[in-house]
Amino acid sequence: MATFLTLTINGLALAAIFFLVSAGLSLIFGLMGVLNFAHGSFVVWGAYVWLAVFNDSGNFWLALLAAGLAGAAMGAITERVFIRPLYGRPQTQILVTLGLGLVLGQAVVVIWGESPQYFNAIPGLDGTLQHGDLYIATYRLFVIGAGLVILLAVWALLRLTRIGLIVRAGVENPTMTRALGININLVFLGVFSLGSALAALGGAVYAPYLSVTTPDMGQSMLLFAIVVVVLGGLGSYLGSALGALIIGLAQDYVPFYISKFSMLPPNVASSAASLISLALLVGILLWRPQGLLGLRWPGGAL
Amino acid sequence: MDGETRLALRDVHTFIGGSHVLQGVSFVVAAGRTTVLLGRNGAGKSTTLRGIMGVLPAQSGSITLGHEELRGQPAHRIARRDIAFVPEDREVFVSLTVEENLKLAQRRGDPPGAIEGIFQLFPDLQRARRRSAGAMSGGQQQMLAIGRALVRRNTLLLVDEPTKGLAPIIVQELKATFSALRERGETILLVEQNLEFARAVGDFFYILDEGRIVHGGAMSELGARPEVLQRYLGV
Repeated sequence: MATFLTLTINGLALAAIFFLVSAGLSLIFGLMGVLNFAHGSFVVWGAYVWLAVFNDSGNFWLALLAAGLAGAAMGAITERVFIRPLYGRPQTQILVTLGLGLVLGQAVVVIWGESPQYFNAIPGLDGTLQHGDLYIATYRLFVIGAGLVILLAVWALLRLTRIGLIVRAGVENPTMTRALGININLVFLGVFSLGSALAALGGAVYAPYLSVTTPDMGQSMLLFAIVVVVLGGLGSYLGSALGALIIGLAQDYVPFYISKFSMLPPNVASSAASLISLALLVGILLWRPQGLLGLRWPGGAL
Repeated sequence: MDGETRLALRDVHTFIGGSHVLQGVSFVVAAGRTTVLLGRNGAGKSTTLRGIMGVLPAQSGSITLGHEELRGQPAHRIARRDIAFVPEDREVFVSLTVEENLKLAQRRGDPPGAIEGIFQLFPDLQRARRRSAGAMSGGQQQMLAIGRALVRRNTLLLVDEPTKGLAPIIVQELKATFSALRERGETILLVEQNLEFARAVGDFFYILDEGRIVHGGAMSELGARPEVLQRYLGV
């Protein structure tokens, strides 16, 4: 039981990080039809901005705020300069965002170097809770809580405010939204900025989870985020939360139980787990091509 | 035509892909009246409305509202000149509730109570206010699309084939709705294939054929021109 709980909490923490990264990707795709391949580099930048501010100030919260703001600014600039001239040209967008991602990734190497960066423990969040056989890192609980808070905050923004109403309408039918007098370009800019801020926050939260930052930490995260978004339904906000939950938990449960019951060595079990995750994805997509909570494609329900 | 001109199109050309859909369309819409654009499928009626609204921009010519040039402006600016649009396939937001669809049409500084006014006009919408617009029948969705266009006071209302695909009883209801709008002095440009409906609600007509206006006049004169009806509308 203790093992199961530990696995569950680890899986939930991973799910919270997947959610932060994939929610922005999904919202941006749903509203604008843009699959932003530079999204992973915002994760890395978030982690490194967090690292720089945390090392400098020792203030974890200030560092999180700085990472979020940096992500928002990078997202806004990316939309305005690189994406806006290319609406309706998806192939060019893919090339441009891929290129931008490479440049931003290299910029991290130039500024902070290629080698992994370590940092001090985070005051107040570096402990472990123990209850019988159960050991839980406080930081993982924090990550789960942070994921939940942001899930609810963005949900409230989308569900309870006029801006959210406009975003939901824009996801479904941008042309008709324009014809109601709404300047959807401003909405695009805002959502791109918000989505990028969430990715950067995801990166900032991910660094202490890994206890290290590396310039390539965004690549695998982008892949996971794409899987999460496709699984949950492109453009569906709650879909990305559900997808993140499934993939996050699967990442923890599957390798453990495979290695436990099959006697395979852990590294083989881990490969088998990835295979099973992908098979799950393919199976779900054959059953529901629009994803678990996606209404239609593209677009979908929030 | 007597009365003030609200909207004027002069020599409007629109290309979609490689085809020249509007080939120099010119006509005027009189203030406070209902003008009906008739014509066969593919004549360019919807393209004309979408061009005025700016959702399918015209490449040349002029589209003026009063003295202001609309052509070349983005759709949201055109909408802010108090032009409302009921598109051909209604395009209600199916993932939103009925009430949210109406709220979306409201703008900052609008007087409160506009949505209640729409509910008085269409009691069916009030009963379904918290339901998803996607769960409504075609007729109810049409009422919602029209209601959404009436949330604000309009200088011009563009309506594309409101009767398309609806049961005769709903068409009768729409006839009453459009007659009431005419009574209260709305300026309407209506695209319609249902000739009987057009004659019941229209003051003026134009016939569009292969991207050009070929006839126009007072609606009362249309019946006296059987050769025109036969040639351009196939009735």
